[in-house]
Amino acid sequence: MTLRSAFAGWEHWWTEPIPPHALAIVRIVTGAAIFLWAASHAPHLRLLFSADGVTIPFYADRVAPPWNSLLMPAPFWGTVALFVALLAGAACMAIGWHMRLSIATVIVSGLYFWQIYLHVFPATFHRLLIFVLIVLLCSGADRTLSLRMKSERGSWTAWEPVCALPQRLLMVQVCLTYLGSGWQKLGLTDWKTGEILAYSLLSDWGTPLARSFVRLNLPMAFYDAVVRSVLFFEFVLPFGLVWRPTQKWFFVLGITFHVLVLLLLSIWSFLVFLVPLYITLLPPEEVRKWRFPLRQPPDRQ
Amino acid sequence: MLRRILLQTVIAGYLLVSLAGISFSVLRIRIPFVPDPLFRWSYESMSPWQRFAKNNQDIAIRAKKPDGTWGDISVEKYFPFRRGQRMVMVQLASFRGDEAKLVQYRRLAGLMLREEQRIHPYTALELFAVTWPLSPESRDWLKPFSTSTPLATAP
Repeated sequence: MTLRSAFAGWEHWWTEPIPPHALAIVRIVTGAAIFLWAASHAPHLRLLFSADGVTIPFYADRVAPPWNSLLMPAPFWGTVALFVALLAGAACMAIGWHMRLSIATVIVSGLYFWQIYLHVFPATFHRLLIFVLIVLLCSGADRTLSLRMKSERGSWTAWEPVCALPQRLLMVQVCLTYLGSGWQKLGLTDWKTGEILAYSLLSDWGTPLARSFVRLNLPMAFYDAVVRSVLFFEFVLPFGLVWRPTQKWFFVLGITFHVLVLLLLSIWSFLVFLVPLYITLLPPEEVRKWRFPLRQPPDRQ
Repeated sequence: MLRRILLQTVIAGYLLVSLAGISFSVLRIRIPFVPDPLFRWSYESMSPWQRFAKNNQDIAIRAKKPDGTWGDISVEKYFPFRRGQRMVMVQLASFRGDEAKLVQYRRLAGLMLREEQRIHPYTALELFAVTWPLSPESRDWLKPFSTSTPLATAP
């Protein structure tokens, strides 16, 4: 293999034209999840997100006038208007209507609400989510399973090929998230024993199910073994997810892992925002051949 | 040609930033020339669950009535979400340093007093950090043994 052919292969992998179905599914699931997540905050708009309530704008003190006024909490009517824009943006993103405008609206209004939200709490999944949104913004994820294709081509399932780059970026990011997290845990003192698990299950993150489990009074050696298993699992997960012969099994294991995290530690964000990205690890042509629950006209390009 | 250059630049940039994130995660080696916000984004998007406590940690709010007596106010109204999220939020995790946190707690106490005064004629409000040991029995099983630390008072 020459250097030239190696580069051609590299370039082809990153930028070849691919069916957009996996990206479209990520768009739909992420848009729907953001819509529901945002909607759950509706009862608290005045108190937690408006100038009439209790907010601490995080960046307003760090930005010079007059731009800082954009980062201050709006009066209640303005908060409602922005909130409606966020919900509309998420809904339009999910159905694939004016996708770029809708994702841009979600990013801008979402960041605004996040930074005035009482006691900003930037978690790993926030960073992952903003990355996914930026990638989708430039992805052509509305080139199938979208209102755009329905209006332009007469069918929800009509599709046009897109550049592979956005899907490859999401795919690499999924692997890096597990790889980096697993490797970091290997070096962290708190992850040397099972204490982190036992105490976390008893903490405010723990669910009633987790507390019941701890009441079984299993020896600390059990928690040590579970923590070691988690470290090993997170280390091999990215490789297992990518390698075709093991992919199916690691999909099941990854989903099971995040379901357990939800059931025991009430953390839903990775199940909702990270697991759907697994689909980007599948060959795009394979996802295209799935039978979607929509009227299936002949594929058109 | 321009498109090819642009795409390869995006790929190279993304891989460099990711390499910076993962090399710091694994080896604590910081790759130069990667802008700090991008490096931090990459590194922190791979951050695992890093903290656990052997105590419950919560916040308590007390308000002073016109007759001079103090009464407890529900915290749920201000933190209406999962308790784990509330536990992190009440520590104002985004604000670094004790002094910065105290400034924000004072701000918070003032805003909470304003909010409470919409309905009640309270004249003052205090915020406390409350900690008590974890217990398999229930969250509040050992709360009678809690310790409180004053955080801020308004006005």
